[in-house]
Amino acid sequence: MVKATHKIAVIVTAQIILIIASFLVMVYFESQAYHTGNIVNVAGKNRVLAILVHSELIDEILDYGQIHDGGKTMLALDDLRNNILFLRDGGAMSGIESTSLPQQFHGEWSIIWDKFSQYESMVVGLISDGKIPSDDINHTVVLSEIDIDGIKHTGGELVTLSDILTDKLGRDVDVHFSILILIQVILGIINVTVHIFMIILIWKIFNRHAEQKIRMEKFAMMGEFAATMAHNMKNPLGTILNSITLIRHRTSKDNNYDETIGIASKKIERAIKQMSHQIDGVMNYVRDVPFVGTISSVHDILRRSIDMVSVPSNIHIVIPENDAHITCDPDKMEIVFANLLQNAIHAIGNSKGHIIIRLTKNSDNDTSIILVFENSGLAIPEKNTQAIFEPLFTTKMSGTGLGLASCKNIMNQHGGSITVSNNPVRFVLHIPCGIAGVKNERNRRHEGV
Amino acid sequence: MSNPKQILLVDDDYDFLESLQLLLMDDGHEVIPVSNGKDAVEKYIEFEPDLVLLDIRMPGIDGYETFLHVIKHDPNARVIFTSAYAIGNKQYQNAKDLSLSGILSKPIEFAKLRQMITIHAR
Repeated sequence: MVKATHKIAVIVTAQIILIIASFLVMVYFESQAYHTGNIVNVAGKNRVLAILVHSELIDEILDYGQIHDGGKTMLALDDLRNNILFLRDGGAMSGIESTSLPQQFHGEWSIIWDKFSQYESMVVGLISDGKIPSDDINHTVVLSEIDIDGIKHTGGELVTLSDILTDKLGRDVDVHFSILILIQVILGIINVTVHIFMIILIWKIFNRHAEQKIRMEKFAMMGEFAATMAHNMKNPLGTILNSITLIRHRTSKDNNYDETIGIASKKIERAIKQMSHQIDGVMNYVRDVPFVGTISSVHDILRRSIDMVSVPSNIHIVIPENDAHITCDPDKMEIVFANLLQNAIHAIGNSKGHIIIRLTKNSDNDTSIILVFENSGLAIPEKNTQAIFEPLFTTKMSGTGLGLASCKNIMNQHGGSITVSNNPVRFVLHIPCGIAGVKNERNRRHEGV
Repeated sequence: MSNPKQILLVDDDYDFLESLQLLLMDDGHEVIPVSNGKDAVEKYIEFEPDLVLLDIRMPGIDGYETFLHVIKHDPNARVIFTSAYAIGNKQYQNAKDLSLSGILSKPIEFAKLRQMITIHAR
């Protein structure tokens, strides 16, 4: 299981990433909106510059219809031209930074440019016609009112076209800002939702952690209780077993043979074995029992496990014909097998059923075996397939909730694993062969040579 | 019946001690019964028996400590723990490293006990 601290670290990292991503998205869109806003300013400036050209031109026309110099008008005209080009190409000008004009406005811009070109040629023409040559201060030309009115009219059209583009760009900026606000709202909602979700998740993790702590405390108490119980019960059981063994020995001698006592004493011995097994079941989980590894036959352990549980007549057990030798603690492995058999018997209940045990070598390597316990009993609810291996989890009225947890512990001690699947119910044990596997491998190699 | 051996039997549970003593005696062994670790060490030094059957959980000096005293006196002592529950892995491993002969879990199957006596008693 992933540790709570790891989960929290992942959650906090995800939050940080989300915050940074939100920030970058906002920066990008705000920057877009800012530059679009600058384009509006540049477009708006066209109006001012066009009016300035006209104003300079009017100023330069002398009372008698001559143009004194035309220089200021030409400068204003240059400014207007530069501004129109700046509007299209973007860049930096007079301390203002702007992006290039979006493609969708290039049509309008071209119309403005054409109008400007027309306006420019009219203005330049007028200046050329009305300018007083520097070497002839007596030169007299009277500009016609029609020419001036024509320039005024064209300039007005240029201003109007420029205003139309400014309006359109302004509306585009409005759209940008609307999108920006919408994104801010959406990101805000996502952030709040994610934070709430994470708070709930963290709360659940801590809650689960607290539940686990309570369970472990309960478990520790149970360990103490089990140790005391084992000592207090196993000593009297030992006394009973010693005494009944003594009685059986005494009554089995030729001159003192008593068949009834023989039968009765065997029953007592079996009952003691069962009680002892029950105690061991708890003890196996709650106490560290020394691991005693020996090379053992899986077949032999299986047979002893079957002897250990009482198999009702409605259940047929099929054991594998093949065998394997593994290095294991046979007593502990017997506990695993017996637990799986006992659970299968319980799952089948009173109906007719079977338990099939299959033994195969792991196809990936020769150093482990796979033992499958399949039964015809009821399926395990999917939500419980992991929980059944947790200590103190049980769905049985009389279960200790330690059987499968013990199995998992014992399998872990052997470096193996236990898993479960449904349809049909199968408990799969992966058991390393250990030294036995190595020995077999060596033997086979030796035989091969 | 096994070959008669002299066995030091140590257990603080009187009924268990007496019942196992009777059983071992019935099997032909000579049994020295004691109910605590201190007496066990004294009796071991006095008799140097062929085998010690030593309970682990006892008041005062427990079985593990008693084992250390016995081994200190006689490194070749043959000691088998009898236990109602197992000791910790570390202690068990230490005892194994110091020539502990084996461990029998209570209630003890007599066939197993006989086998252990045959294998481990001097």
